[in-house]
Amino acid sequence: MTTPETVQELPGTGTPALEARSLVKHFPVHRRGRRTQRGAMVHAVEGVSLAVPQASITAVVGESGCGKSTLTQMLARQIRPTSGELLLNGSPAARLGARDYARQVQMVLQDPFSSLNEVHTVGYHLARPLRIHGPGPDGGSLDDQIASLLERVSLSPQTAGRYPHELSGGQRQRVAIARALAVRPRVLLADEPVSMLDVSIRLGLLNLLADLRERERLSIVYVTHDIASARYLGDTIAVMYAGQIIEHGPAAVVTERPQHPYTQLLLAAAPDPDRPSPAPLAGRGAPPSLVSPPAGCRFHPRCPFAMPICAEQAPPPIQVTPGHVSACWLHATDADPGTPQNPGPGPAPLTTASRLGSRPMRGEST
Amino acid sequence: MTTLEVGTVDESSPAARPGPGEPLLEITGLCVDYGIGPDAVRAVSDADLVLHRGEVLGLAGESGSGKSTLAYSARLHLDQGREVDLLAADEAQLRQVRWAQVAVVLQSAMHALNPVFTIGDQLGDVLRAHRPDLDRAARRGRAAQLLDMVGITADRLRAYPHELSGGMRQRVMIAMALALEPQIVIMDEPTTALDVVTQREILEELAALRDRLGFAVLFITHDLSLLDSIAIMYGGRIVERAPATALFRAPRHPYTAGLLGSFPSLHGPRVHMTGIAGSPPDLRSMPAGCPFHPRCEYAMDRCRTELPPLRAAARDGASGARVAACWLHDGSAPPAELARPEPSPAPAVGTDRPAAGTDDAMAGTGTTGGTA
Repeated sequence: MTTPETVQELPGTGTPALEARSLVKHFPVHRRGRRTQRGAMVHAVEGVSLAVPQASITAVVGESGCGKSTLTQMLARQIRPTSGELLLNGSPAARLGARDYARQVQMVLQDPFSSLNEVHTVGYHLARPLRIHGPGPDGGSLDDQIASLLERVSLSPQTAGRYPHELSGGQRQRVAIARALAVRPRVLLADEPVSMLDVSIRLGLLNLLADLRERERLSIVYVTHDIASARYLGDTIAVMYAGQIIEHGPAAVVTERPQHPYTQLLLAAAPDPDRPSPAPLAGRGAPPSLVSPPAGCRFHPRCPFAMPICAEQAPPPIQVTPGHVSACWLHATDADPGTPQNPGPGPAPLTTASRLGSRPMRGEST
Repeated sequence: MTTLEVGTVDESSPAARPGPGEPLLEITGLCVDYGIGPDAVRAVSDADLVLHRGEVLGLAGESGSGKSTLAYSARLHLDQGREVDLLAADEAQLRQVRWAQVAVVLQSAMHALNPVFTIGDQLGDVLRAHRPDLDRAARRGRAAQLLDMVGITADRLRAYPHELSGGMRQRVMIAMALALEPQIVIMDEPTTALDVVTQREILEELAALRDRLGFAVLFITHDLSLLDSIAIMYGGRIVERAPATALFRAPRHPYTAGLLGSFPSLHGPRVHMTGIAGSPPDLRSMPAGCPFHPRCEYAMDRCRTELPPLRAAARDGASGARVAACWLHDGSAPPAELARPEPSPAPAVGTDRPAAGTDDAMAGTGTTGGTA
């Protein structure tokens, strides 16, 4: 029920709005002010390639320390990659100056309580990008443009005169989104935009992002640790582990039929009151040190399906179904003839049939 | 009247699990104010709660709903001292109760351990204060035993907190809380700062320890999968209390239904969900009547003026197992969404779905359109 139709849900195959090619970021290790062991590096992001299609939402899921924020900051050009390339609408981003790049790629931060300046009004926050980057093509006075920005994020025009402390967390985050929209960007990078908000108002913000994708054809990178919200909002999900993307595919497929053992573990561990009993965890333990990551596949020390090859060679991304890739040797048909193509015994608790139970189907729009 | 009682220590074997044992902690009509006079903010109003031996009771609600305040006042760090029992107890009596019978695991293990003492010192400190009969070697042995209980090897006794991972620090906190074999453990979102895999591991260990040692847990959490029963708080009041599966399958209070509908599901078709409109109330200016009425889609005139009492909905009978504070259940027929039948007590694994058409609250309060 999720196979061919869902794959076709993937947004068009035109030029991606933003594309990362083999991004690498190594941070030198400092101790007591100077570098210890020459060349000791934190391998924060290792060879990440990610294409963000036009007018779509790409969810990047991972646990703390997996490099998802480092990746976002590189996509925002706030930190410089050690190596790798960024393409904006198909042309190298390196050719653009910082301001021109910021005009097309904007960021929404995690904490709306510290990302707004307490001594300035909401209007001031929105006027600044309009002044710096110039008004929109539709012209209009500054006040009109501020009012229209507020309207786009479902806030009343009177909000412009308020100070951040007069607003709730959800309203503050809407202001932060309006501020990012002021320069009319093509791409919005949202790093954990709802994790600081109350549970009951998170969905309102996620729905706003979905609306912006729909109405304004904005491309959005939604970074989160919550795979359920990634499934809710994302068109595609990219799962990161220890600095690498280990699985990427349509959101529904990745969550219904996870292919990489780590994705299966992540789903088994996610709180899910729908499950009659908690799913068993296969691959307990903690992520590896990124100063000296394990050779081969970075998940192999925890992996219940680990084979000799996993400790020697890093698995390449392998296409499982069209549009769904998983970096795992279990999917390599020529890796070992005795190996099942999909991890056979492990994912039993996660198979579509057993997890869906007799849940009645509701039509999925689109 | 405000009372707070802790059951007497029963040295015989813990009551058979599962199923509620005798009441261990009873909270009746508890109010907690922060500040005095006209500036006082009422963080908890008229809370009634009973924790039974061996039970895991969840307190859920948004930030500012008073769930932590309620849990901590149950531990008597806040002094509303008036009448009987614990609230009337003096400091010496309270020392007997705290930790030995009611222990707490704090939310932030990162900050709850003293960074300049080793794990062994901090575990030993508890034992030295409460168990003067133990000598140094015995304390050391007991500390090693406690660490072993939560899956940490004894050589970590010499470690400082910064040498342990977040998950290990939280395990140390749990070991410390269990050091005196308390009857009640209060857990304030003990795993929120941890990775999901570590969270799940710790919760499983906790469940195993609970089964073995038979303590009761007052759990402040959003993860409903571990709990026996749940109390939902909103604006300082308990608005619904029910067995966990009943609350999840058939919520009675509109806020509960909205809260359940705020968590996207991990399976099934993706549907558009709405969360709850508006924001949580400001405790300094609480709305009149039901605190939830400004955000409630079913609000009636009565809700704006009269505070609904916490009582059994008409259809549930007066067994006392589940109660909700909502006028919708007062006589007239409540909306279908809030009037689902109770789930059967022993649901068949995997096939315990309600019939088609009654499934909406699990996926969300609003089910229009799609997000794809």
